[in-house]
Amino acid sequence: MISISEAIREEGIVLDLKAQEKVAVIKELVSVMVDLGLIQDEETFLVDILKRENLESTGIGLGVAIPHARTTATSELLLAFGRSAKGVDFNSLDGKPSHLIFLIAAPEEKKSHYIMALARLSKILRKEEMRTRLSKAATPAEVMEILKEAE
Amino acid sequence: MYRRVLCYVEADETRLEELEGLLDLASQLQSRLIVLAVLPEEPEEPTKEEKEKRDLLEDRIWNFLYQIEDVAFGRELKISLMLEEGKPEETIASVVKSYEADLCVTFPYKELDAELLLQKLGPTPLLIFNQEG
Repeated sequence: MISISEAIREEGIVLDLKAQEKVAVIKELVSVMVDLGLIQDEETFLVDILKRENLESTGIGLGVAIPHARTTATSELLLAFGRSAKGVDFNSLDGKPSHLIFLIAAPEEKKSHYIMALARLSKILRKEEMRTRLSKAATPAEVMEILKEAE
Repeated sequence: MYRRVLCYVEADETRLEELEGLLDLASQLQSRLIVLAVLPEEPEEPTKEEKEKRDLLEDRIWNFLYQIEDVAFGRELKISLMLEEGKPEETIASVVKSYEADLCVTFPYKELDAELLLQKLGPTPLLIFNQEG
């Protein structure tokens, strides 16, 4: 069974994103993963994630975006979380900016884990209570606790 | 002509292979595909069993939606996923209107009232794929 809270680390949580535009936000979260030593090839990962971003609207509405990719740049399922008070335009169908942004990376060969992680996260984030709690969390540890509880 | 195509799917009643025809269509039309699934409305005071059943259904729906997305990505199709709650016919019509879809596509599901859907869609054309796509 895939666990969201096990795929994310406190150091992979940015409660106040500096970037304000979609590609810059993705780069900021990717660099967090790189700094943690979790991504072996930053350039490949960026290409993979931006390719998908160009085709899809990973802004799923309700102020949430989940940019994601399967990539050769990692050997394990990884998550990073960024929060933007101002909101970022992820071309959501509902036209609203995204405030809660989860970046997911998975190895090419782990398709089922990747899909399960996306599904689980989408389900958690569809709940208004969860979005509110994540929006108000004061520390990365609190974010981790909320995700653990949600699972 | 068909800039946005809305496709309604029932996760438990559809195999991924049955969507091939739809993906071919979206590719030929160079349309953005909006794939919609609908969860039944939650009872006011659900029992523990009803909650668990609904929870599992939502898991299956999201899994199915992301499987579709993965296949669509492999074909370089533009796609968005949606999960809404309500009665299917009303929800489909409402999403078609809100997101200005030019065409609505679905499959001959037992629980879907195609006549009612046609009425609710108004001028938006409805295409129902057979099970072979």
